[in-house]
Amino acid sequence: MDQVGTTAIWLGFAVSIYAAIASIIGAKATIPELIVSGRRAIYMSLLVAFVAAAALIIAFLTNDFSIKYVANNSNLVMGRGYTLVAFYAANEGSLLYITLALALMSAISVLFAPRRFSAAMPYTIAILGVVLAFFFGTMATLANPFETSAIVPPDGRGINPLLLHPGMYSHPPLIMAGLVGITIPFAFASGALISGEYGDDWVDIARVFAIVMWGILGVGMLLGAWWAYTILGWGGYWSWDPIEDVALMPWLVLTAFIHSIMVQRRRGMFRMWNIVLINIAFVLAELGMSINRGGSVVSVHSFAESSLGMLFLGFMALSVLFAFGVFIWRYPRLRSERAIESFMSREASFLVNNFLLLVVTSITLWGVIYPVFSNLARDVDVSVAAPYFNRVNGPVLLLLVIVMGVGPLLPWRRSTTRSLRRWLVTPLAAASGTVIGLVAVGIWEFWAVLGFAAVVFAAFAVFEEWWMGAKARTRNLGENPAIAWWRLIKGNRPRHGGYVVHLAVLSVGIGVIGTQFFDQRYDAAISFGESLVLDNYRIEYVDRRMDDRPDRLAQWAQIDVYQIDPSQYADELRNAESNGKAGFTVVTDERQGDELVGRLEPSHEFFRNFNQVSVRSGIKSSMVEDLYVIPRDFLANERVSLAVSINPLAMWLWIAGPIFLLGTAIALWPHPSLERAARSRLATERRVVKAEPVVIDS
Amino acid sequence: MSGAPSRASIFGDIIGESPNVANISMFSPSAHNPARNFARSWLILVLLAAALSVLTANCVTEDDLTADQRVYQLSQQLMCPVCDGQTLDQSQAQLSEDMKGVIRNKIEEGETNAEIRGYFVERYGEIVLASPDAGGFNLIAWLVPGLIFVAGALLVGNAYLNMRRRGRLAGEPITRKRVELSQASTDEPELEEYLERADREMASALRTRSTDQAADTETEVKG
Repeated sequence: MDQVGTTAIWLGFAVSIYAAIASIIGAKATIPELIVSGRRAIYMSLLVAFVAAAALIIAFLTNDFSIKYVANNSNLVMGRGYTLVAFYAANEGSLLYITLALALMSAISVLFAPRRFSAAMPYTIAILGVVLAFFFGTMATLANPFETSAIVPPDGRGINPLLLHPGMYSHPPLIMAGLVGITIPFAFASGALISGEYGDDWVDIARVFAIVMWGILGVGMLLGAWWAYTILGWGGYWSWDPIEDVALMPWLVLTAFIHSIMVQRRRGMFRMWNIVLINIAFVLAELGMSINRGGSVVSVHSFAESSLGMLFLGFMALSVLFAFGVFIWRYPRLRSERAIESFMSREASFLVNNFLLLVVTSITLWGVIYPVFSNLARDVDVSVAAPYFNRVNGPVLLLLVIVMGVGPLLPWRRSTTRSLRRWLVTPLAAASGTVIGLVAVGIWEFWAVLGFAAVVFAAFAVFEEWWMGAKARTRNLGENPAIAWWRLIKGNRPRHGGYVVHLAVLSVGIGVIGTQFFDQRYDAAISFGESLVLDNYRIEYVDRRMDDRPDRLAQWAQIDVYQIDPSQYADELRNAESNGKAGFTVVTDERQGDELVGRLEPSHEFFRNFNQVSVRSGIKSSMVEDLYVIPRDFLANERVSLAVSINPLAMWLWIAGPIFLLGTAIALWPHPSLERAARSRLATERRVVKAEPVVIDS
Repeated sequence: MSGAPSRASIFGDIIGESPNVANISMFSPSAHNPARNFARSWLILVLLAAALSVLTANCVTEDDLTADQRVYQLSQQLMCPVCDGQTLDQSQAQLSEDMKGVIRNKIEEGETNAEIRGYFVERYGEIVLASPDAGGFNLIAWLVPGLIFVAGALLVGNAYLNMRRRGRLAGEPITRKRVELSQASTDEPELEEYLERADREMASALRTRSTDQAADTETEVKG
C-alpha cells in the first residue's frame, strides 16, 4: 500500500504542476488543446488524491503497521469506525485530507464554472494547480503519510484519546475543508484579474463558493464549540485559543466579503475592495493552516503539530506577494461604476459592517501574534487568552450587532430621515422594552443589558421587515399571511436567507451574554449519600460505575438532580454566604419541595498509554439554563470531586446551528424562475441590440 | 444627579442642537443635513461605547464578590503552567487544583486580586497571566486595538468621502437614468437586481457591438 500511496502523491504533484503550466502556456499562446488539457489535469489530481486516500484507509483497515503514520495513530483495539478519524488525526494524514478536499472542490468549481468565465479560467486553474502542487509536494518530500519504518511494530500506539469521539467526524474535517476551500473564490478572483476580465462574472461563482466555505467554517466552529462544551468537559465552548482564532478570522473576513459583494452585484461598487477582502481571507486561511502545523504559538489544539509551520508561513508570504502584486498591477482598471450617494444607504451600512468585521479580525490577529511579538521584542513570554479578547473585541462585536439591526432598515442608494425614523420605531421600542424589563427584574449588569437590548433591536429589524413585507402582500395580493411570508422569502432568497443567518448570530449572542455574565460555579468533593447545592439545584451523588480496561480506566458518577425550594435550606444558605461560598454540601435528606428533575452520568476516563484524562460532562439543559457537572476526579473513600456550574441561556448557542444552516441554504438555493426571467430579458435585449444597427443603417 | 446636566451639555455641543440623548438628533425633523447628522450619531454612538467601556471596566470591585466568586474569577485569569493554552478553570491538571487552593488561602488571608496575580507572576513569569497587565511594555497590547479602530475609521471615512466626491463629479447622470429605467420597469425588488445586471450586460454588449461595427467598417473601407 505504501508504494501505491507514495506514487499517487508524486503523480499528484506532477499533474498539478502540469495543470498550472499547461493552462498558462495555453492561454498565452492561444492553444485551446493545452487549456483543455490543463483543466483535465485538475480532474486527474482529484483522481490521484483519491487513490492516495484510499491507500491510506486500506492501510488502516489492514493494520499495516509498517507504515509509520498507521502505527502512530491506530492500534489493534481501535474500533473500525475510527479509521476515518485516525486518517486526519495527525500531521501527515490531515495534509492528505486537506489535499483531497482541495482537489475535490477545485474539480467541482472547474466543472461548474459558467461558460462566460472561460477567458479567465486558465489562470484560475493555474492558481489552483500551484496550491495543489504545494500540498502534494509537501507530502511527497517532507511529510509523507506513507513513510515506512524498517522494524514493524506488533501493535500501533493508538489514536490520541481526546480525539476518540464522534464529534471528531465533523468538527476538524469541516474546519480544514472550509479553510483550504477559500482557495477557490480566491483563485476565481485573481484569475479574472490576471486575464483582464474585469467584469463582475467572477463574483457570481466566487459568491457561491465563498458562502459554501463560510457555511462550512461557521458550522465547523459551532460544532467545535458544542463538542468542547458537551463532551470535552473544558466547561467552556470558546476560549479564544489561537487555533480557534485562526478559523474565526477568515470566517469574519468572508462575512465581510459576502456582504460586500452584494453591493458589487447590485450596484457595481466596491470592486477593488472585494478583491482585497478575498485576498485577505485566503491569506488568513493559510495563516490558519500554518499555525495548525504548529511551532509559533501555544494552543490547546496541538494535535497535528510538526515542523511544517515555517514552510506554510513561507508559502503564505509568497501568496501575499502574488495576490497583492496582481491587485496592484490591475488596480487602475478596477474602478467602480458608481459612487455612494448617501451615508444613509445600505451600501454605507455595508461599509460600516466591513469596517467593524475587519477591526475584530485585526484585533484578534494582534492578540494571536502578540506573544510572539513580546518574545522577540524583549524575550518575555506572555499569554493572551479569553480575558483579553473579551475585553477588546466585546465592544466592537456589540457595535456590529447594532449595525446588523440598522443595515436591513436602510434601502439601497439613499434614505430620508423620516423613513428611517419610521422604520426604527419598532426595533427601538422593543430594545427599550428589553432594558426596562431586565432592570425591573433586577438585572443591572451594564454590558449584559446593553447586549440584550442590541440583540432584540437587531432581531426586531428582521421581524419588522418580514411583517411589513408579508402585510403588503396580504393587502395587495390577498394572500394568507403565512403564504405571503413564505413567498416574500422565496422572492429574494439571498436577502432573506441572510436575515435568517442574522437571527442565528443573534441567538449565539444571547447564549454568549447569558454564559459570560451570569454563570455560577461551585466546586466540591462529596461521597455517596451527600449532596451539593448550588442555586436552586441539589446534586446527589448516588453511585459509581467502573470499567477497568487495558488501555484505560473509565469511571461514571451517577448523579440525581433535584430542583429545591431554597427556603427549606435557609440555614445552610446563610452559613455558606457568610463564608463566601457559592454553594454548600449537605448529607442527603430529602426535604419538602425537592423534586427530581433528571439523572446525569458524567464520566472520567484515564488513558494509560497517553497519561491523559478525558472527561464527559453531565448536562441538564433547558432554554433558560444548563446545569453542568464535571467529575474532576474520583478520590479515595468513595469521594468524587465535582465542578458544578450553571450556564444561563447556553442552549441558545446550539439552537443557532440549525438556523444558521437553514439561512445559508436559503441564501444559496438556486432561483430558477429569477434566473430564467433574467436570462429571457437578456435574450430579448440582445435581440434588440442586434436589431438596432439595422435601424441606424436604414 | 449633579452629573446629568453637564453630560447633556457636552452632547449639546457635539450635536449642535437638541441637548437630549445622542441619537435623537437623527430623528429630529429639523435636521437639515440628514447624512451628516447620521454620520455624527454613529460617531457619537461609538464614542459613547468607548467611554462607557472605560468607565465600567472596573466598576465591579473585589469587595462585591464572595470568596468563591473571586476564586472562579482568578482561575479564569490565570493560565495553567503545565497545560497548553488552558486557564486554571479549564484544565484538569492537579497543579491547577493546587493553585486554586493557594488562591483560596490567599483570599482568606485578605490579599487583593492584584497581589495574588503578582504572586503567581513572580513564581511562573508573566506567561501565567491569561491577559497581560496594562502597564509597561504590555501597554502596547492594549493600545494597538484602539489604534486599529481609529485608523480603520479614518480610512473608511476617507474612502467614503472620496467616493462621494467622485460621485458628484461624474456619476450623477448615469445613475439617474438607471434608476428611472429600473423603477419604470418593475416594482418588484427581487427582479430589480437581475434587471440591473441585464442593463449592465446590455451596455457592455452594446460597447462590443459598436467596436465590432467599427472594425467592420474599417475592413469595408479597405475592401
